[in-house]
Amino acid sequence: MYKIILIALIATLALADIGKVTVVKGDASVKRDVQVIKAHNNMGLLKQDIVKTEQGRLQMHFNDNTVISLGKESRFVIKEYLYEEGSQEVAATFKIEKGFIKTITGVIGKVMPELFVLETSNTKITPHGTIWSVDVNDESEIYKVLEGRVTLTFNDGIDRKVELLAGETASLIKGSNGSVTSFQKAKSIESSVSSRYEDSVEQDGGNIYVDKMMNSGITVSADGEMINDEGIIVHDNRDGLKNPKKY
Amino acid sequence: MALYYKCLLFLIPSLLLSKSYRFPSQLAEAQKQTQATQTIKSLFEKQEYEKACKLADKLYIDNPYSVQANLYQGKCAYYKGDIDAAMAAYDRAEILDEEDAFVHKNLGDLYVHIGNIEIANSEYDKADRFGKDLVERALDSAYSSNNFSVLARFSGGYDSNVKYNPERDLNNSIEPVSDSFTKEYIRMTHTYDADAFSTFYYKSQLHLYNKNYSEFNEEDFTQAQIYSGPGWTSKDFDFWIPLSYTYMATDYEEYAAIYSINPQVRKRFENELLLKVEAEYQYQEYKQWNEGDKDIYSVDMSLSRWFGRNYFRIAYRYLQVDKHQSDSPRLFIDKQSNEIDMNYAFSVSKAIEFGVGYLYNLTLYNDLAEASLDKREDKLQGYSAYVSYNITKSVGVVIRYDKYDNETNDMLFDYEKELVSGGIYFYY
Repeated sequence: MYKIILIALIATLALADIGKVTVVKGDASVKRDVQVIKAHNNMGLLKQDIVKTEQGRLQMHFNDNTVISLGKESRFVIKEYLYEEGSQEVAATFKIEKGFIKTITGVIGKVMPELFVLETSNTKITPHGTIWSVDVNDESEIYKVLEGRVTLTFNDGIDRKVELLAGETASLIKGSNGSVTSFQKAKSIESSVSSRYEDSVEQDGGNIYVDKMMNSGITVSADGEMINDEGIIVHDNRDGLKNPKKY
Repeated sequence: MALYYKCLLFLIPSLLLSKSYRFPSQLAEAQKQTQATQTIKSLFEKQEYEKACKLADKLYIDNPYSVQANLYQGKCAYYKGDIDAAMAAYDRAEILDEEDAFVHKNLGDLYVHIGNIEIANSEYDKADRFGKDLVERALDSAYSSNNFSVLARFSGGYDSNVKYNPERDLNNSIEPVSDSFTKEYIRMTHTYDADAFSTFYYKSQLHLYNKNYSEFNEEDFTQAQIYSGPGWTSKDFDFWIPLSYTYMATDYEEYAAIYSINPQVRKRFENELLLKVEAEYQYQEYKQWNEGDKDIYSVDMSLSRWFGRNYFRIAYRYLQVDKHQSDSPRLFIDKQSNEIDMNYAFSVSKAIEFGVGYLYNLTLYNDLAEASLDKREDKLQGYSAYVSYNITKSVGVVIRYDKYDNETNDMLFDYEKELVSGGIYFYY
């Protein structure tokens, strides 16, 4: 009898909802084992569910308060999810195979970000208390960080990480076999303008010097780190060198 | 009678299946919801957020799939500072009706709040598209492909040797005299950057400069300069090729025009070292003086880097000036100079910085020095120091000291000059 209760309990826990579909509009379904169930409002979600949208969109709310919104024509896999309030044993591994996903990080991503992973076919994304989105299609993956920051690692076996900060966007272009052909951070407004070194030359009473703003700005190093360079470059010249005033 | 029942049997399912038909209880519920929404809206307008949010919570519990209920749920979370909950609620509202202008307006406001102007503007654009009227944007300085910046600097100072000019050939009649001066400098920059993912941009700059001495007018100077050209940039390099036109007036009597091309490259290496290389060709055309026109060629190279709070820079410059009319009889136009410039700056705090600089310039002229069989040769040394204080991110003050000492084999050009200046600058 005890064993039966234990098995029933384990089975119940295993099948307990890990979250729910808070709202759905249009065509969307959940593939559970061999079943395909039409997604509906307030529908419970289980580990290993594959959530698919056609012309519909939906939002899911997981038990740790992670909120995931799916765009049209998306396919999202709940690979692993373990969360119980107060427990240290937590994990969340999701995969977006195609389409658009917007994520608002919950407890797992905020408290133990290393245990929260969103995979794409080319990268793994670890959030650090953040809101971000990914748009995946056959040709590219576009990452946008709306708040906080995320860390991207690549599935190509090369040990490198790229950090994206709030307001930053990155695009990954895929080749015909799905491999990464290029990856670049977009120029954010701030970095693009100021990194161009607003050069100017001021003639200053017998001198010409580059004004303070000339060498200020933010650039991004090769490893993706933002570098703030606000140094004064003083470039003294006497009159007549750069802008000769008289013959 | 049979026909009556048949009609009734047909009518009832039709009514039931009709989208527009609502049972009285549904109608009452819809009216209740509309009324609650209006009350919440009115309370928000009166800034009675607590009351509004209590009603909004109830509205959401009763109508979790209503756009309005989710929208007000989001607004309440926003006012409570819970950005995640606000975003989740607005996203739900947007899923329920992606063409609701008010939802996109609120999403835009939320993105402005978290500092993501680009996405905020895309939401405002949707709100404009789906709504009857243009929405009020929370931030006027919205992201666009066109970016503007302005730098203005106003200063005044003291010059110990105002009349001396190293390029003038009549210095023997000049005694050192001092004078005070004021300067105004404004730089306006426009950058057109249509595609954030492409490296291409187009930048134009207008520089306006004016300097006035109190007593003497020989050194009064006004200049307007336009730079414009395409550029290419990425995360660690920047390449800009501007053409420029300058119109200058000296002591408001003599005028010159300069035409130049000034390609410039900056490259940031992985170790944070910054390399800058510039080349420039100028053609300087004087309006009043015959045979004084010049062709000027120059190359600048510099390496700089911050080490914590310490900044170091070393630069080299080569310049060659040729008479545009090779048979011009004027002296001291043709010359070549080599220059080394070294700078150090220390950032005392985020607001305060001081720096020192040293310059060594060796200039060889093609003409002979006065009373000599040797060509004129100038060795100029410059020393500088400054302290700057940033009052805010956009406003700062700076005090600066400069000293120049020119040693030459032509005594007419041997001089010293000291400058002390102080000013304020604005950057936007």
